[in-house]
Amino acid sequence: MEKLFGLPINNVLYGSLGALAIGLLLLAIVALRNPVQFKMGVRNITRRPAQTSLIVLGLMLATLLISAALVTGDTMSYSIKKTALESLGNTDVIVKVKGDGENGSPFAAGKAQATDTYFSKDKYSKIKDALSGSKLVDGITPVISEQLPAISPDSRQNAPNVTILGVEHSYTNAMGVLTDKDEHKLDTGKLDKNELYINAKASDKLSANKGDEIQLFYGTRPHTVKVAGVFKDGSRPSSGPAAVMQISDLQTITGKADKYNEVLISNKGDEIEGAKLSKDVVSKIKPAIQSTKLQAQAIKEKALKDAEEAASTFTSVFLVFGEFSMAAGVMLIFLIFVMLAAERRSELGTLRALGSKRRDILKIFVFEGTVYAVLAAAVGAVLGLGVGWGMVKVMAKAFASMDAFTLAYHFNPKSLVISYAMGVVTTFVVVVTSAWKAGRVNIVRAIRDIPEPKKQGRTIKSLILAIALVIIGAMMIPAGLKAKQAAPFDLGVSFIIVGLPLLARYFRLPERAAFTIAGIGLLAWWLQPEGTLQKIIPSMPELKSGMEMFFLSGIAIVAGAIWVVMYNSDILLSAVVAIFGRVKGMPPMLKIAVNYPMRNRFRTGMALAMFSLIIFTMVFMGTLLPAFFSIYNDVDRLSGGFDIQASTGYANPITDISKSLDKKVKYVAKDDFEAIGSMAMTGAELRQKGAKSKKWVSYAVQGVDDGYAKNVNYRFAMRSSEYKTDTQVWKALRNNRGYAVVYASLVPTKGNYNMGDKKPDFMLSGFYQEDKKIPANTYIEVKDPATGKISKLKVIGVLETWAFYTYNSVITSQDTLKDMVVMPVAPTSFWFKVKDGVGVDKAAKSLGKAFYENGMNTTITENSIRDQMQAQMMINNLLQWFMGLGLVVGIAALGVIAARSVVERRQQIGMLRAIGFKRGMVQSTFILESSFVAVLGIAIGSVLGLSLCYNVVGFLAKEMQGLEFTLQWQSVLGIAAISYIASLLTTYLPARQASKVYPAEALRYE
Amino acid sequence: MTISNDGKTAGAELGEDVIISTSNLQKTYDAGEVKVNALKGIDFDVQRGEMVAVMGPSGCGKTTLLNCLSGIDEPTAGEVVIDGKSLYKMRDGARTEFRANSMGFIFQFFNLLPVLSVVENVELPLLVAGVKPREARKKALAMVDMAGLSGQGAKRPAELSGGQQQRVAIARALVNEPAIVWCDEPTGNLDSETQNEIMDLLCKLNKEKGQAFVLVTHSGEVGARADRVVKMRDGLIEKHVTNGVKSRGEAVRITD
Repeated sequence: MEKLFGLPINNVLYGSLGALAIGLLLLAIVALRNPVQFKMGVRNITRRPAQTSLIVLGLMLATLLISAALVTGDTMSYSIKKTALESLGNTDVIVKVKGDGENGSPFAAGKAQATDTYFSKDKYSKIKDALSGSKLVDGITPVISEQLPAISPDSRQNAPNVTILGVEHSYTNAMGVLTDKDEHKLDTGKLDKNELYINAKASDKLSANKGDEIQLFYGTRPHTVKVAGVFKDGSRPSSGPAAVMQISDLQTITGKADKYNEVLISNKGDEIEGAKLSKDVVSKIKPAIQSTKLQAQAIKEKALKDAEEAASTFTSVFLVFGEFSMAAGVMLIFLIFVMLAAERRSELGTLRALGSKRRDILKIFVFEGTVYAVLAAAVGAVLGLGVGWGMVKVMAKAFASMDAFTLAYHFNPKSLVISYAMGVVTTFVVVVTSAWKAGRVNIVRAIRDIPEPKKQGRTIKSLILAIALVIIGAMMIPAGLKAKQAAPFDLGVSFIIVGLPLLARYFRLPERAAFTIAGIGLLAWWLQPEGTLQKIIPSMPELKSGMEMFFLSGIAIVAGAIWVVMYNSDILLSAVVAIFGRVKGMPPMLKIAVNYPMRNRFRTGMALAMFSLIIFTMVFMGTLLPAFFSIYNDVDRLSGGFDIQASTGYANPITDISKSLDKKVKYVAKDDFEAIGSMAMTGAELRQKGAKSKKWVSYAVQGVDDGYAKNVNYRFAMRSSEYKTDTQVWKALRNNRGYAVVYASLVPTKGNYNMGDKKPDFMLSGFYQEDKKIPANTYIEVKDPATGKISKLKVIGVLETWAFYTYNSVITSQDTLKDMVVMPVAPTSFWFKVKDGVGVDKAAKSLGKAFYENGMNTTITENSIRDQMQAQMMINNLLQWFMGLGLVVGIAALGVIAARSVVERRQQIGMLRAIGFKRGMVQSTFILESSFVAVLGIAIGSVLGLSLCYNVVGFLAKEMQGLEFTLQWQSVLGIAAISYIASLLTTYLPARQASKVYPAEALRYE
Repeated sequence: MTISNDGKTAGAELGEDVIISTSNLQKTYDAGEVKVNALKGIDFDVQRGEMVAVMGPSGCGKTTLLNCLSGIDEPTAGEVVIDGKSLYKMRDGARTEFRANSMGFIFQFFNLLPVLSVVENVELPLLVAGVKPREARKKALAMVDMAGLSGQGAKRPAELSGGQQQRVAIARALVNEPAIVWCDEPTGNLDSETQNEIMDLLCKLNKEKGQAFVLVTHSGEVGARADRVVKMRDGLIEKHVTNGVKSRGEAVRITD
């Protein structure tokens, strides 16, 4: 990965390493100057190995999450780059006809393929001349690149889309060497007439090897060629099935004598470094291709950039969703150190009495904490690689259906160093904060282990904090409004919501009232139903929000809920005792089990916060994702009602599918189909009429025939006011020239919620999806790249998000398409709806067989949708369980608290045993206590997760019509059960230990 | 005042039922290489309703004796019979249940649960014994009143003085009307005025309820309020001192 948090990775690396180095250096100096404190701090580590292990385990989690998230990013980056490099080889810059598809990039979306992509030899010569003598390039070669169907007559196997590259003798020199699996060189110059090299994928698909004959189809006429060798995958061209032959042979096959359709240029330097020169190379070529339809593209640079962006998005998603776990991890670190300090309170008191200053105590803790941090971050970073590996395995399964893309586990050592440094620094900061708290003990109270008196927030410090919160909040609100950003605005309001009651507390408002008001305020603000604020303040602008809002809202509502619960625990206590107090034998255990945690606000609050946060995220995701997936079950809505989608290459187009089917009765019965439609695609340059931006954008325009427009049942999110139904829109498109419909993503939304998806290159402006009606004067101007002719398309409908197979499209009728571009555009995408009783699978196979010479590839829409859904689900489940890693933190917190409670309450356990608590009762009391916190955490997290999800679904439903909130009982109960059982397992040991406390020995401590 | 070396005879002289009886009670603490014989063979009876003070220098085995008698520490040898039942022939569960039903405990440091209110602390033994919560609350409140803490039931222990906390502990020990109350230094953590108040309360309850009290104490004043003083030294009973006339408020100084 090259970027993290939007910053160059090297900056992040040096920044975090710098922070680590400065911290450790300062500490080393302090240690040298205070050897006694250093020894006292470090010796604690070896005193209790079991406790040290637990602490290290707790501290490492934040690092583990960072490390795992970075590894997934590295893997994505590496794998996408690898795929791109495999398909591009040494090619850095490609010159081809404007609007031609970017074959090399597996992730190009919304680009079109023009039909006539060939240009003459003299144009190539001009390009070559422009680069001759240049120190920027080390190879240039003209090629023909075509995707043709191939069949092996011997094996009867076929491959509908084989990328065939016709090359000159100069190819090998310019673009690198092809090798077979035994690393033998395959020289393209040695290819005889009608011979070709095929790659391993093509060999596999066609079951053809060296010496076998295969047939290539161009315009339905077969051309027999002989396989002269098999080159290994990973060589240019293409990461799919591919072949290389003499350019003259391919010119013969295509009938394009002395013509090419691509010029490949290799820059100086290796595969990756060379790409950096692309900009200079492109500008050098520009004069030579000016006033032609040719265009030079820095294809590799773009592919590498795309890889980086995809990887960065992936890492960001995992990091954002991992933030909750990291927050919980940080709280655990704080809790552990506060408890360590509590455990050593009398020891610290004695040290203070003997003359140690507060800063000496701070130093002792910081030394100890730093050693833990250094150890824990190392463990976390390495374990993160393991967790990342597991995640990549799951992701690889999800991507398995992508033929041209394989996910290969990879990590950049820089990521390991970054996660380590960030882990140490985070832990270090938390340790210093908690150590500072530990040093502030009253000597007498510490020695006698008497609790510190409550200050009720009436100190000057709390006043300053309250005022600061209000002021910062008041400054953030206008800043957020000005920038139209939801995050600063909502945070500002939250600061005021918390700051004002805290201010009132200083002026004698009881603490309970202050925190209850703050808590309820936060909950009300962050869980307000969508649009409430706009209803109250109509002039309120729409604010932009992104993934960060999920984290902020989560933290805010969890904090609010915890305050409300902890400061009103008596109500809860009475309720619990009233309900369960009737169960025989329960009252004494219940009283203790519920009272202890509720009276220990800090500790229980922290544990509850950790638990609730994680459950909140898991329940939220576990409810939100099925809301999306329930739409996937409505296959008709996603497929437009068609059962089979078939595509053919440009080389052998089917101009009229209906007529062609009549000729194929031997293979497939036309009567099997209830509806047949076709779609043609062309590349053009688009801009919106009257829009601010006058820039032409290269984009694809699809043309649908009558059969498609008549039978498709895709719904519209918006229609022009003259159409009342979706059918009317499709009818208007069919019957009128110059009309178009666009996919939802081409129209902005007011909410501007961005989950990291890439926006299409071409977008409309001036209206929003929320407006419901398309303004009457919405036109797209279309420029024919070949002639420069400009046409107009009136936008009459905006397709809903679920129109799966129209992703990012501008759709018009085929007649309109013919009017707009001079080059003939043949349909390449065909749609079939089979009659009831006809097997879809069989029909799809028959179509493939009937049109194999056209390279027809058929897809059963339902299968494809389900495959996609499953892949998505796999990724989403992975995300959910990645967040679930934080559960370990919550559970560890419960374990730590339980273990500590046993030590702290030894005497009380002794007393309870003396007055009649049996061993089992003591054990049950401790388990009940942890259960109470766990159940409360699960309940708070679930309620909050469901509430926020309800709001988010309502919000997203504005863009994604039909999205509905449904309570996923199974998922929520599953999460609850797993979390609860895990927490029980962690507290079982301390509880058992408590039950074994021998009363006389416990009481002897007096 | 009668002084005797035979605890059994001393108790029998009172002519009442024996509620606690122990013979050849021994306890050895095994601390690795060092073995400490805390009790070296104690023979000792306590009568129903009797108040016995166990006294002696630190480390003589007073608390160990109390722990072994009350069933919270197992003796190495010997037998403890409470109300006709051999304590250590019972399994741990049965012994705990027996304790819950027939014994009350008062400790030097009160050992109240800080998170529970006064009345909740007092009602705890009743709840353990299976008394219904409502009834337990009623009894506990009555006991709180009896202990002189009327109106303090809702407070938490931290809000009370040391003497008040010990009153809560006394109320907790007596609420389920046990046959025996064990007190380990019940006034050890209190000033002399509060000590007298607490002893007044203990003696009053002892007289009214007829429960046997076994007190471990360093205080001669406390010992003087008991029916009998058992003096221990080096894990053995040195002598018994029976207070002939037990006058409330007028302490008979017991001297070694």
